[in-house]
Amino acid sequence: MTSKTPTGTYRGPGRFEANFFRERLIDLMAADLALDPAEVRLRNLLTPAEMPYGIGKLVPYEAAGEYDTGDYASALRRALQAIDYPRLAALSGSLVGGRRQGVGIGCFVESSGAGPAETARIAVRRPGRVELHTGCASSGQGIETWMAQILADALGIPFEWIRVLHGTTSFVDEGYGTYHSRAVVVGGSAVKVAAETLVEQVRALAARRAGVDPAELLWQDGEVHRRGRIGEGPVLTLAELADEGSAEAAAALEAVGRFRPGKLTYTYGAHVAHVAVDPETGQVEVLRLVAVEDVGRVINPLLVHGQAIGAAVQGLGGAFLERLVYDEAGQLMTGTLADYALPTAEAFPSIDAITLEEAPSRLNPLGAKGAGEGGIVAVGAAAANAVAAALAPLGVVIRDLPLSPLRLPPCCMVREARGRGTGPAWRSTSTPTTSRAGSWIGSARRARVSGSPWSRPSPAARACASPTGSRCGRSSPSSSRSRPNGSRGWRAPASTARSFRRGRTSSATGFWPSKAPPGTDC
Amino acid sequence: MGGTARGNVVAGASSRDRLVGQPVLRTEDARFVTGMGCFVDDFTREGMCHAVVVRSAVAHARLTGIRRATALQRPGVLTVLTASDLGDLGGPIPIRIAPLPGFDRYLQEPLARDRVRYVGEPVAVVIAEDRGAADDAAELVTAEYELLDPVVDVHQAMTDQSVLHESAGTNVASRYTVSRGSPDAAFAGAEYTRTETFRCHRHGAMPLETRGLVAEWDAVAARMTVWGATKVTFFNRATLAQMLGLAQADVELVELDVGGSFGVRGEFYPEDFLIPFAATRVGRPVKWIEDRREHLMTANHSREIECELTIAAQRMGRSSASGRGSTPTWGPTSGPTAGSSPPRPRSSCRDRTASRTSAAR
Repeated sequence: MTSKTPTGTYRGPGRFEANFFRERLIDLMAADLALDPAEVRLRNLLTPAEMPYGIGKLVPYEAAGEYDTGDYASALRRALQAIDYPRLAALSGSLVGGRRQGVGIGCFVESSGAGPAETARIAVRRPGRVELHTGCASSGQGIETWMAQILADALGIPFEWIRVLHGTTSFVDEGYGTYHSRAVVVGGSAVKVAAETLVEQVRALAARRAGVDPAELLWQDGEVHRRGRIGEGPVLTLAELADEGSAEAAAALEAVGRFRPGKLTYTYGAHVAHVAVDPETGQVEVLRLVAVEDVGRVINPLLVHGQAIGAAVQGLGGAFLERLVYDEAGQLMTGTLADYALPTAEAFPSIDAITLEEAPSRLNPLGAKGAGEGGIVAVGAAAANAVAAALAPLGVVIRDLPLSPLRLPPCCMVREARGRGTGPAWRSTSTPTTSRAGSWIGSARRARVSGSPWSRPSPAARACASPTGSRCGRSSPSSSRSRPNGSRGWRAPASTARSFRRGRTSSATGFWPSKAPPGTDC
Repeated sequence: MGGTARGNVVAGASSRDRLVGQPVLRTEDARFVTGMGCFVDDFTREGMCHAVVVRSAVAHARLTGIRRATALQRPGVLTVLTASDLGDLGGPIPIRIAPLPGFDRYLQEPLARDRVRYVGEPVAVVIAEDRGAADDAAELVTAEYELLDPVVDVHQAMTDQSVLHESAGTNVASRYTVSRGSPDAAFAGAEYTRTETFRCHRHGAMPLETRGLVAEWDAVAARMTVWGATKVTFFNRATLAQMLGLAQADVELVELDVGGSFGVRGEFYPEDFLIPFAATRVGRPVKWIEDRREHLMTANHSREIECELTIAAQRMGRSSASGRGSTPTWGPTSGPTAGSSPPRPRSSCRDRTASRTSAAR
């Protein structure tokens, strides 16, 4: 506890930070081992065959968790392809127009849809007027729209008939609220349950009146028909019933649905950032950010993309601009928006959000996973890895956010000289270079100055991202320029790493051909 | 709008899925783009008066007295409330999620009683006929402090040289370890390891619309209505009912249009009790609108975490990751969601062997 403002939830709480820590360390490992960061991830990502995958307890007060469904590598491949990763990886670290180019990856999973239950209450007031009450709150996510979409489809009625009424604790008896990316997963599922209940009620009433078994009737587009005899016209319509005014009709025209989630459902995806860093000022331009997210099922792509792009901008704001600063007396120094820099419309113009539906959730009737928070989780990691890749030839190691000009070179280089981490340590006793582990950091830094280990496209990434490989070739001149020492430089970071590769069974010459200049081997 | 939306229906789509999956334009847009939205500051009640919160100007001090006589003499001032006015009501704000062991020793009271623990902590509430009068009077409320050493850094906090909650006896609110598999063996046997310390900085959600509330007390029906709620309205209703000594059925929380939450807006803050409480005291509807400086000082912050992390790899690049001693820097109190911030090292990567996360805060 400190004497600063209390902390609490902010979009992706704990995830944004942890993701940055982990994905940054994966990139540091990749550099040590002279592996491409995309390749390291593609090798290690969980596969659909491993689902559901138990992840144990993350915190003492929760039960052990389990990833439900997902093709994590597919999401990453999609992001790599969209940003043309092989070309950018070949450019990483090189100077283009006086600025260092960098590409960086962050993969994420994000839990969503926590309990407790939500309820939805449907009341057909009159023909053309159906009210839907929910306990979910809306802080601008478009709940009045997507809930009506779900209900319109579930009842087969026009969207215009539906009014979504949210926002008081009196509309429904039981509810909780909107957090943990749960409104669609939990609240939307409750709408579906309520609609199914209403359909059953109206069908049962129609069956009673027609003197037939309810199973002989089917519901279609707000009307009850005899099965197999739709051409004869409806037995009963929702509009007729709403116009009737009887107590019997009123009872059938109101229904409550409740959905209580069991396990959490996991959204996942990958972000890839392409940046240009001015090495003298530390100013970073995000040339492009590709955000791929699988939300199981998209109810409304406009709203999902709005969430994804908004989350990306907010995450980039956090990674580059925003910082709450205290002095040593505990006074907040950033007390206005003139001191606390928020991203505005022109700050990060080039963001692509790609939404996938490859792995619907099996834990709710919509197949949906949360879409509100995943979009911010890997932004800091992707941005930091991109900046790190850009500055790797200068020996800069990124360990902290934010990536503001004040904290990048020369500040970063000063910090780097201080050193913080314990550094990598090799354990293989059969490797003669083990004894040099203590001096490893220094030699690696020199090696990185002379050449960028980031310049090597991964064969696997190339295969998935660029079938022809032609763009790799085009990028080779600029990546070559960045390495005055040619191919010698990039073998150097790891004399130790080479021994690691030597042990691999897949290739006697190592993962990348050591003679061919990077970028031309495709 | 709806009409446009129908135009987006894909021809031949099944009747069950005509709209789900379609880019239906927002129903909400019509009122927003025509300026017809109703955000909390647009909302008024007859006879409404205005509240301004007097806040601690120092980070850590004993609160030895609050002088309000001068403020009470200002024209238009109805009352100035301090912790001594709360009687049996109020009480600490409960934890909503993430009940880390030990956290319940650090709950926040809605008004500081004998100690302040951060700049911006509420010490008094001024109610006046209009906002200007309330603002002017708030400047005349003076709190007397005996300064204590502030604690602004997590490493400083962990030395316990200046303890924020004497009853707890330490600034380390919680320690825990979770693990999976046999992390020690996995790391000992790994061919490659690397340990680094990473830091993420303190920043926040910063919604465009700051917090705000309008509370109305119906003394005859003994019923409280609060406009301006959002996010977790049902939880907040239960909390408010308990703090006011009312049944949940006698409390209604109403959500108006909301200019963003991002998790920060709509949690239960001291004002979520103080403004309804003030309405019961003055017998009139009370409005409170947070200004941007207050928002930066008092709405929950997030993200400030230092984390030492070790990664281990075997040939073929299978990796294990472990977070050790990740240390979020919290504020001085465990609010409703403070415990949600420790990093959870969820990884989409295969964790073949083991992982362990220890956290101390």
